[in-house]
Amino acid sequence: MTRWSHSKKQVRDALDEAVTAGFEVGDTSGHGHSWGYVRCTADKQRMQVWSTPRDADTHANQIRRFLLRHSHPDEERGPHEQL
Amino acid sequence: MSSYEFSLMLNREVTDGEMEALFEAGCDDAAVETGPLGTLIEFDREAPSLATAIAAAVRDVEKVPGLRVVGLACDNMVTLLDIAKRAGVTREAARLWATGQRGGGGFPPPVILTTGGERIWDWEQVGPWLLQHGKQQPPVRCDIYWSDSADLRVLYTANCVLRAREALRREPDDDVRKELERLLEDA
Repeated sequence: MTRWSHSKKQVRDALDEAVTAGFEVGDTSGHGHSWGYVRCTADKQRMQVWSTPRDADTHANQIRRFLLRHSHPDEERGPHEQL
Repeated sequence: MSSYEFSLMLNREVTDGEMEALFEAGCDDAAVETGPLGTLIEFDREAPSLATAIAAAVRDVEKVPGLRVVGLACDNMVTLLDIAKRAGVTREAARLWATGQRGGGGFPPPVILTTGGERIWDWEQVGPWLLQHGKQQPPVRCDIYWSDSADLRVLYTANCVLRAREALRREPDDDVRKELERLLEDA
């Protein structure tokens, strides 16, 4: 019942995880090799999602690593943290 | 053929048109992250060796006019929270390892203390400690690897070479550039 138009299930699953984690997912398909993007709302970095990645599982994991890099748990990184 | 994972840093943000060109240049095995904080291209590249993989990836990226690879991204510098994520535990558990209150002590000391008071560890020291102490669990959300020491050496050398190329490209004085290029060729 996923709403993403991406042809690969592995990628659709990763996009679902991105939305659940609070990321913006944009479908710009119809423009060449890009299906769309996943964007971090905190720092505005985006990862391009290919329509036809070389390997769907790898691309899905690349999306997950992007989510991890941009999880920004700022409250846990305060400058005054006591070790 | 094995698959090698590494990240290249680019000189600037990538436009939509350049994104298409990157795909056509052979970067369909890569994740391109771009934005105001710059561009990072993460490759999962099949190649006979890590050095071959890096060289081929750099050449693919630089097929796109205006884009230059300026270095390799380093994922060795980690905070306590990064360590916790990679080990699949809470930040508090990682903190207790670091202070020796849990885990039997011997946790590597931080390698950097920022002016803001944040401590940074070297994953190359922390990873082996976790393994020795049986703390390594499958990460929850994604696969994170650390390289063996031969791979690390290749990454280090490749990063130095990429930074040297970029420095030469940016050198405005022809005489200086030529002189220093000759020095590189001597190697």
